[in-house]
Amino acid sequence: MKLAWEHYIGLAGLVLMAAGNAIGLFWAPPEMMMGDVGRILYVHVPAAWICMVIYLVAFAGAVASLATARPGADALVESSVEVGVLLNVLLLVLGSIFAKPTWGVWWDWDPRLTASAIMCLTFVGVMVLRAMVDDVERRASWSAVTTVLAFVNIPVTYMSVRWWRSLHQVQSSSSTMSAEMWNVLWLNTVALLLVSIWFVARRYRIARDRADQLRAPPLEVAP
Amino acid sequence: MTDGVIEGQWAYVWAAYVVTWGLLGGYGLRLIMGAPKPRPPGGSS
Repeated sequence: MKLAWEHYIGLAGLVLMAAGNAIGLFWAPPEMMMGDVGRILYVHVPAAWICMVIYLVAFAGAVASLATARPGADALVESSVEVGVLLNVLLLVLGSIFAKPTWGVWWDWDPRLTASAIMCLTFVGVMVLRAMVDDVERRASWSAVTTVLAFVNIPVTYMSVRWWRSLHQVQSSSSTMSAEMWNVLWLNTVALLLVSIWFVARRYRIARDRADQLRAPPLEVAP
Repeated sequence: MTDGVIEGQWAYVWAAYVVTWGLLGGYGLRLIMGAPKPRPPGGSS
């Protein structure tokens, strides 16, 4: 049996993620100020970065869907919005776990956290809208428009730590982390990217199959 | 840091990694185990 291409990507991502997480847990040095809690960054930061990348894919799919009305573009919107929301939820939960020992609270209405929560809610809104509309063409156009609108918040979320006084630290970069930590962070980021590509590709096939079934003419009884 | 503080820190670290694998693993299994069935016609539009 020949496996679809995305399964190889997913398998590579899984192996890299297991290795990257193990290195982050047991090999990477403790962070100077936060100690071992800093190890949460190796899963929290990749979730944030890849979440935004997947939302960017959803945005591209939405623009393509509006421009071409092709079913494939709509399936890309459906799959990438769902995977984006999954990573967004992961990002928020990990952020909360990270916040408690470092800030002393599980949640704060800080600009970055608030923008991230709004980002999640708006894309959940796109999913709810899709679930409520049965007409395939109308669902595609409505969800494409709402995805484009929801995407407006992504640059705001990304820049929120620089535009406003935020409790959240600024974006991690090679200038704010030691090379040892930066390399581990990138390993985990690439791993999560590969796993997410597998998620989107697999979910895309499901969305296409589902749309094809809905478009198919109803079966009729033989005379 | 005392031993107690370090143990407490590791509880948060483990929680983060368990949540990550649980959420991603659960979603991955859902994708592998079965595609969602198409909804029956006649719902709201």
